[in-house]
This record gives sequence, C-alpha cells and structure tokens, in this order.
Amino acid sequence: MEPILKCNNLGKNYGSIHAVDGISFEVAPGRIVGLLGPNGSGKTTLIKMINGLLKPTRGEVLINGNRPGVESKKIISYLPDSNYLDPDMTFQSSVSLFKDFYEDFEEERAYEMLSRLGIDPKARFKTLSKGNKEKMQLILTMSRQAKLYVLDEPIAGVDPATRDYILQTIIGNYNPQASIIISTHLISDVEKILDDVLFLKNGQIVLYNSADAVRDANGKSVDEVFREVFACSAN
Amino acid sequence: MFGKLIKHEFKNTWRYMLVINAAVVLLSLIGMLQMHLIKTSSSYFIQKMSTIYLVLYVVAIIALVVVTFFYLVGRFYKKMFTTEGYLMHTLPVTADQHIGSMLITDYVWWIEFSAVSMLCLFFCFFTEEVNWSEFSQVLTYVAGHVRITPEFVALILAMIISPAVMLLNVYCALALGQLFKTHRILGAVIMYILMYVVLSTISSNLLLGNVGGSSLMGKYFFTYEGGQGPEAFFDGMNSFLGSMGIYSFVSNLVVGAIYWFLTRFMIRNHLDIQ
Repeated sequence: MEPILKCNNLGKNYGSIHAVDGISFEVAPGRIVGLLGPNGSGKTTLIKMINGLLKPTRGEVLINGNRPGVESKKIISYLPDSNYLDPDMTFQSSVSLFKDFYEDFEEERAYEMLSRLGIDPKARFKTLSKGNKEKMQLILTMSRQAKLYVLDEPIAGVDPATRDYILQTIIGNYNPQASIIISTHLISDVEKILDDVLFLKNGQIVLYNSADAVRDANGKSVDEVFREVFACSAN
Repeated sequence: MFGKLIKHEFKNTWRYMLVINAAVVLLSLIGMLQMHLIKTSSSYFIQKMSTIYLVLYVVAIIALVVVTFFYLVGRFYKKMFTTEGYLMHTLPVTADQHIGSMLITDYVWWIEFSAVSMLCLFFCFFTEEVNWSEFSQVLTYVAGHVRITPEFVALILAMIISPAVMLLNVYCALALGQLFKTHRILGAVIMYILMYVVLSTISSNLLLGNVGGSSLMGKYFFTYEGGQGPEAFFDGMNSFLGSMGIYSFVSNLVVGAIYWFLTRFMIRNHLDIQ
C-alpha cells in the first residue's frame, strides 16, 4: 500500500541549529501516529514542512506522492498549535470559507458538533474563551474527510474536560481510511488511541514502531518508555 | 479558487470600508454646512468655530486615508505572516492567487476610498464657488486639445496601475521583512526605505542622468521647440506627458513585476510564521 506520508532525509536548519536532522519515515493509510518529543525536539518544524509552511533545507516530504502544494493541501486537514482564525470571523463565516475551499468539508457535521457545545455560530471568535476557540478550530479540522490529519499539540494547555472532548472528537470524527499524526508531549492522555509512535529528539528519530510493539518490547507503557528515553537525554 | 479568495476578501473588509466611507461622507456634509455658515453667518464666533471645524475636517480626512491604507496592507501582513497564515497558506491555492486576490481587493477599496475622499473634499470646499457651465467648458476645451496618442494612453494606464504598484511595494517590503528573525515590521520598514532609495537613484539617473548617451528628460522634453500661447502650451504638455507616459507605464510595469516576484519568492521559500 502506498504511504500517505513519506519523508526522505528531511532536514531543516535554522542557522547552525538542526531543528530536523535528516529524518526518513513513512506513514501508511489508516494509522494514528503519535509524534512524541519534548519541547524543541522538532515536532512543529516537521509538521510545518508537511504542510508546506516551511521549506526543507534538505531532503523531501511527499504527501500521497506529491510535494507540499495545492494537491497536498486538498487532502491534509491541519490543526496548528495556536489560534489561526481571524478574531473578527464567526464560526458561520469560517464554515463558509472551509466549504468554499475544501471539497471534503462536511458542513452538517460541523454544525452538529457545534450544537453539542451550545456556542452561538454567529459569535465572533474574539468573544470566545481560549478553550472554545480551540474546540471550534478542532471542529473545523475534523469536519473534513481528509486523507491525512495533522494535529499539532491539540491537547496542550487545556483543562482535563476539554482534553477529553478533543480526544473524543478526534476519534469520533476522523475518516477511518485516513491517517492521523498527533504531536504531543502529553503521552498518557493519547496513548490509548495511538497505533504507532515516533519519538523525536533533537530533530532525529530515536524510535518509530507500533505502540503495541513498544509496550511488548519494554514491558511498559509508551508513556513510561518516553520518560526513560528523554530522562536519559537529561543526564 | 481565485474568485473565491476575492469573494472572501471583500466579505471580510466591506464592513470596515462601509463605516469609513460613511464617516467621510458624514464629516463632509457637516463641512458643507460649516462652509455655508462661514459665508452667510454674521456671528464672529460661528465663523471661527466653522473654520476650526474645517481645519479639523481636512486633518481627519487625511488621517482616515492613512489609517485605511494601513488597514488594507496590514490585512495582507496578518493573513500572510502571522498565525492567520496557518489557515491561508494551507488552503489549496497558490502564492500568486493569494497575492493577486489581496491586491485586487486592496486596489478596489483604495481607489474607491480615495475617490470618495477627494470628491467629498471638492464638494465641501468648492460646491458654492464653481460655475458649473464654465467648468464644463474648461473640461471640453482641455479634452479637445489632448491628442489621444499611444503615449497618452500609456500615461493613463500608468496612472491606473501606479496604486497597484504602490500596494505591491508595501507587500514586498513586508515580505522581505521576514528575512529578519525578530522585529519583522521594523525590518519591513527598513526594506521599504532601501527599495525607495534604490528606485529613486535608478529613476533619477534615467530621467536626468546621462544613461547611454542621453537622459529621458533631455531626449524628450528639452528637445521640444515651443512657440507661444495656449496652443503651444498644450503641444508642449502633450509632448511632455506623452514621453513621461511611456516611461511611467514601462517603469511601473517592470517595478510592479519585480515586487510581485519578490513577494512570491518570499512566501514560497522563506515563510516562517511565528
């Protein structure tokens, strides 16, 4: 089966710093991959290169066989780690924008998810709390029938109830044939939904395997293995 | 997709533009009333107050024009280079479509708002002064003496595209400001000044300097052998405007294209949203 995502010797430098240092890996369709690493390990840089928001210094990234561009953007649904919606926009106007630009966007599903939150679709984003803004962004992202969902720190900085809501929304709404890449350092919260885990340290892959294989090989949870791997790096 | 980008740009900006246009019209209507009071009222106090209002009115119009310009180009900055770029740059559209859609929207609003502001100023200060039949006679006379030559058409085209080039100049400076790691708006200002200096140097050399044996100014303008009277004046103006027209049109096209490609290059290769 053709991988949905393929990175070949992918690297990004910021001056002398190797944010991502020549990594190669593939993601098969239908897999949920945890992109795990501490702050500064290169997760967001990698995600930005997948989305065409950063140009690699070397190597290449292919999404369904295409380099980042118009074709790849049609099939990737991306949730950044910060608020990206115009504060003057409303949920209604952002739905109209998504519907216009993404053929795979499902308007009814978006409104259905919103109705469960009880938020007025005509409320401007600037009037909403941080948690509600993040939920709205997640709803927009998960209302697409994309082939690849790329979620950058979707559960960082939110309360446990919102965290549960976010994880349920992801699992309950993604296209089962699609792949998901979830970047996080809060592993215990997401471990149960992951098929594969990719540990990133100083821009390099230190482990990429199925979550079950990692647990079987170490006799520990992925979270415990992560703590061991990154505790070593501190010594 | 290009049409959809333009549609959403207008959708996101029309409210601000409606409010700002309404403000200019309202201020101008009050201004017209003040002008009328100055001419008809015998009260010293009313005359002074009306004069103060009119001074403030002109300042307010200039301020609104400046604010609107920064609002328009500020939107380009926000959409392309701040966190809103996470949405804009992951839409399935090209960098050219982004630049083109924002340029068209900003251009239309800028022309519309500039025209409304100038008309309002004109009507506020000159409505009661102008003898409209004489005014139309002057316009007819001028129109009758302007020769519609290719050079004249080039001048008109240059005037039409120059606001777009001005906008592209700012887009380009904002894009080049991304080369700075921090203080990117300050970086954009520095880039704008640098571009201004470079262009002014090239432009003045072309117009007045001795480039390739003759300057444009010397070649076209000073070679005119004029006579006397209004006919000679118009001949001189036609000759000058004609030669300036070609120069302005070509230089605007070339400079605009350079701004466009630099902006596109930066968006495609040096995007680094923070």
